[in-house]
Amino acid sequence: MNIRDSIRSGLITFGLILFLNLLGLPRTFGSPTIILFTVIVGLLTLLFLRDRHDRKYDLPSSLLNGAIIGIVAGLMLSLVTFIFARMQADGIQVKNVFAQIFPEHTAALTGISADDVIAGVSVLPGLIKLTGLFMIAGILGGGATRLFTERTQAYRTQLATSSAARWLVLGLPFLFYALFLSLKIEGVDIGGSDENILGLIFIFIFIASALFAIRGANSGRERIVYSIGLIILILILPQLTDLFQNAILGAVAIFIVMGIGLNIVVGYAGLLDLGYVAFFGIGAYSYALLSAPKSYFLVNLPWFGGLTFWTGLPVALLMGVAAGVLLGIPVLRMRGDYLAIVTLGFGEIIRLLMLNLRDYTGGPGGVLNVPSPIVFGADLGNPKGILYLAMLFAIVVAFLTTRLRDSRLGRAWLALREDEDVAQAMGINLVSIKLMAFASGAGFAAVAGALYAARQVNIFPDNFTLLVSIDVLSLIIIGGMGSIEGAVLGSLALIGLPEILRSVNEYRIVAYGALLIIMMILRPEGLLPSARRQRELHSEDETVESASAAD
Amino acid sequence: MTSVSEPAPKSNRSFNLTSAQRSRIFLNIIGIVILVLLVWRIYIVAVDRAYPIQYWAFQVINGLVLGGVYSLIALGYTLVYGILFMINFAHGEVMMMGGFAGFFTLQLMNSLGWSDGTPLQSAATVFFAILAGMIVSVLTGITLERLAYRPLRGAPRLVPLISAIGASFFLQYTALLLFGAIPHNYNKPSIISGGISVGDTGIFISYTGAFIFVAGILLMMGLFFIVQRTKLGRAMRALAEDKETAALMGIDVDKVIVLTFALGSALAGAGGVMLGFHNTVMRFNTGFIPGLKAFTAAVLGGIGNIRGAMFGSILLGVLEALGPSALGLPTEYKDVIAFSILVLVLVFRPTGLLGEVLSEKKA
Repeated sequence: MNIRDSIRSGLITFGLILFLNLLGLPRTFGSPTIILFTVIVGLLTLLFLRDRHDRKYDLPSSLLNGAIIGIVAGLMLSLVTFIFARMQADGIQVKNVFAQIFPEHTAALTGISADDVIAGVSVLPGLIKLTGLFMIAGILGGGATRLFTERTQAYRTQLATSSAARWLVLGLPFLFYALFLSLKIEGVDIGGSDENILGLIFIFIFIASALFAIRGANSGRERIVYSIGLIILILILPQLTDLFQNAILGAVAIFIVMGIGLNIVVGYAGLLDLGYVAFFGIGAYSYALLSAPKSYFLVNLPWFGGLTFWTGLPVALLMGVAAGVLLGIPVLRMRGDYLAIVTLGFGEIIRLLMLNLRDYTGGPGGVLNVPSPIVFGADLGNPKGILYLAMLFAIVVAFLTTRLRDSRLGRAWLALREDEDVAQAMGINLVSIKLMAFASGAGFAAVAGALYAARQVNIFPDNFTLLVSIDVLSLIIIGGMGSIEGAVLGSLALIGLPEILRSVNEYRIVAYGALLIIMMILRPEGLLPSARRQRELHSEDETVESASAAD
Repeated sequence: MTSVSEPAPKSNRSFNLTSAQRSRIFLNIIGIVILVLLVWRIYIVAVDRAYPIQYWAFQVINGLVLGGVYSLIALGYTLVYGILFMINFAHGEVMMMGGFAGFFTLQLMNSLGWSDGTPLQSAATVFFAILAGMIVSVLTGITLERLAYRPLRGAPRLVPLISAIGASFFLQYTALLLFGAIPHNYNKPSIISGGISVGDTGIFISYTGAFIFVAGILLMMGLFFIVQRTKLGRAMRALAEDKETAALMGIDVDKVIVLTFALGSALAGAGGVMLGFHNTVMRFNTGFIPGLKAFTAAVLGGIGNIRGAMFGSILLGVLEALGPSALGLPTEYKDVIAFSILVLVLVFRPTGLLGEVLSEKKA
């Protein structure tokens, strides 16, 4: 019975690895893929065997079952790879069906070169090694289940709530900041890797751990002092980073502004908006068209001298708010699912209009040479300037959002999200608060759009596809709906990381999709949720609440 | 006392409308204005362009074929919505997976020489392509239900919807990575290539179009039979009515839901292969826009209503084919027209053209 369960788990493991395999991971990463797959086998084994904790497993049977899972997964993968290798040796083009299965792919898994694969060199030694590795991973995973017995569980809880753990959480941001600074010192070389990228990773971890640390600090004076310290560190950051790092951080900050804006619509008011990119695009195009030297308005209206960034920004904001209200009016009476589809359609309509109204928007050629913002004579049209502006916008938007959330309007939004009918019965004017939600969310997106246009200098309709909406939605869902820290964390993870890990970029959206599903099942409130949201989604199980309160 | 409770004088009554009534009247006025503007525009364009009758006939036929494909997809939305009250956002991608299965089957049959072989072999090619599309779509659909939707049953409504959006993008970009970004060209088996001219009117009907339309109708009749006449269909309708009570009556809720997904996905798979025949290419994002349009069609007809989905799809197909020419716009605007129809329907008739009046909670 145990054996049959293990074989089944092994087949599921194989299914997942085969999927990653067909997606082309071995071709992208080369031979390190084997290590990645081995780790996955180990983790999955741990997961499967831990789930069976009800039946008291002793150590030998855990190890045995782990080994079986590893061997089954390894043998099946070997079989598939062997078949592909045979076909490649016989000159059959597997990539006509599965576009990623090149000889290099087989080579990466079996440890021989691509030419050898085509020449028909036996792949069996490599496959035996692969199966062996999987088996060892399975055994280790099975052994690791020992760490999850009730006794160790209690010990770990004790450790997590100890004051040492708290100081570790509080100290972690400074540690990573110091690590980042140490990269600047002449002659320091950590792991011999690319200094820029390593520095950026340290910055990301610094900001992310700072978010958790602020939560971990005792509320009151400690938290305030701590937050101010961290904010000062963040504010001097752009002085220390280089162009490349500033450019990426700037994109992250712009998406934070958008994330906070979408949070109002989705997180507070519970209106799922899939066309959020429309407002972003409207903001960008409003500013660009009214300021770029060769746009329709400047060429055909000679009396109109064009706007600067600071006069263009209010115009973009107003256009965004107007668009938000215009979209809001027809969809007022719709609920959840319909709203999602209609807003999605709205986003597509705006993009199609940008693309097809050639005479006004420039069509696929976009708008070129958008002027950069100027403050007191200083041109901010460089990554550092844009980053500072974006950070400023993010702070302003975060402040406004917090005030809105705590206002009467904010409470009305929460009521609306909970139950529309009850909210109406309580005397809330649904029409006006829905429109307010759309308008404020849209306004923030439009501001982000104007800044984006200034950052990109040249903007095209292709910058405003549905994928931007999905990016923003994913980042607030994964970060934590309804919380500003969530938007920051989500933006770092979903916008920042793919920029660094260029080679992973093609897997980005597949990973987002999977993450959305997994998050919805395991932790629908996101990684750093607002306290209220957390209570709502976990009102019935106390254990989860106390566990995450310990975070 | 009696004089107090007497109704207000008649002359005052029309001014004491509730806010709901007032907004409805306001909406109706806007609707009439939009309608008048549209008719005016169509009249102007018709006088201005004066397209020949063959042109319109061609567009109508095109629209009917497209509508046939949409209806196969729309039925999947409607079936699932009728039971779970959720939009299976990834349904278009389920269809796309079927389309890819059909493509590879066609490649295989082509290499065997069946595709352009005897009429029987060629017909078998078409049959197997559609069968493969249906099988792969069913597998995709029920896997989706099991992994992405079932764990979330009973969660707040936004949760399964977000999961479905995730699934949609997951499938789309999985297909991109698995099969590559290049468009896959469908090569039509000889039996459905070509077409006939109707008499000497100059109207041309392609065999592909005719086949899609007829096969679509047959499949839909099959579905209609299942839903209306079989025990499974009765169980499905019972679930749509009231899940708890149905479960108490001994209906295996999980099983019926899986079978519903399977039925909807099978139709979508067939639709995917037919869309491949119609458009002659299949790409990773082929499913998305048709999926949205099919959803629009389902809403147009009244979601949760099988006849409504069929009617709405045909109507949407024809409107989409005629719309750009009738309004004097370039064809790039056909998607804009479809989405505008969706918005207008939801605003002016949220229950759709044939929809029952759902209670607010359901709608």
